[in-house]
Amino acid sequence: MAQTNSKKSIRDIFKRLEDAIDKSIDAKQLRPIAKFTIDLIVKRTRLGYGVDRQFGTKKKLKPLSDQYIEYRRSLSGKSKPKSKTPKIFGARSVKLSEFTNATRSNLTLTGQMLDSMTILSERGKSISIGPQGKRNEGGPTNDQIADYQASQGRVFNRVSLLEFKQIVREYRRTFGDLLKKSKLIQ
Amino acid sequence: MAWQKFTVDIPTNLKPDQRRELADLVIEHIFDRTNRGLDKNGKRFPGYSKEYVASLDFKVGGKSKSKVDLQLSGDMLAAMKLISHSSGKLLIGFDNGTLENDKAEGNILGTYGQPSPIPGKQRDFLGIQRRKLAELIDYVDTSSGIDGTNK
Repeated sequence: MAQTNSKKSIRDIFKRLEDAIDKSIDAKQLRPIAKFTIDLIVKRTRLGYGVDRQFGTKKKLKPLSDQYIEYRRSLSGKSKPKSKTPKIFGARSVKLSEFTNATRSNLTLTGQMLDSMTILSERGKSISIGPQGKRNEGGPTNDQIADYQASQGRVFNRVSLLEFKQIVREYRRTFGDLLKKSKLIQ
Repeated sequence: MAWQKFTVDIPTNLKPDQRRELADLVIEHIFDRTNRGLDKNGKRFPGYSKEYVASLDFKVGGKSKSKVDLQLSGDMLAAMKLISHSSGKLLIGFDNGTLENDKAEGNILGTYGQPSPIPGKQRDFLGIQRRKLAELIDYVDTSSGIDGTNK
């Protein structure tokens, strides 16, 4: 079954990590590394950047339309929308997340999609991560929202090359050679 | 923007694999020390500005006023690398012309995208104290090498 944009197997990250550290990773070590990866992806996306392809370069997410910005401003109570709000934007009763503002393009409206990012499945060294679950206001699920965003050119559930280097460092310091050398490098 | 790098003088008897191992340890030391809020001379980094603390990036990054660690996305410190090495020398820093190089310059000079340094906001992390370097050289020179490989 083809990977959707929302769900992403990070098997390729673990394979590349094994190549980088030149040894096999214990399955018990995968979960904390997967969680570290999720945190990296969520933070980077909230900072306003996406990654199109695994191990690529991060890029600023496409700017928001003026109409959508107007809608987001109305949610914060700072203004009333000048035009009718298209249904696709969402309900008028939702609250803007603390991790965004009206103009920032960071795949965050209420924060539910990125908050829902989690480990979806585990089998051996194959772990899938992605958004999941229903939303408070009903309507599309979190992974459906993510797929829609990807179709609009806003792909986020990938890891950049520099993020991969952070993952390697985290592995080395938590489980690998740098754990033994921790006093030496202080 | 200038190329951010520094040269480490090392014993000439170190072989290429030892030079790479030493560079790795120097870089990991710089990361560890920076993560603890200390500059290349072991002094505390100056605190964040009020504007930055109040910014959305600060909140999104989960940052704390009491921990100045030069990390928001983490990309800058992840980009630090061994640029080149030869007998007696390591060159450590960033790829010239990259965003991460520019971020490093901003921290090192205290400019942060401004034309002139902001007084008291230099955060120079790119270097290593002699005593620490000597400790790392001693480790590499006397250990059996990376992954237990015999010399």
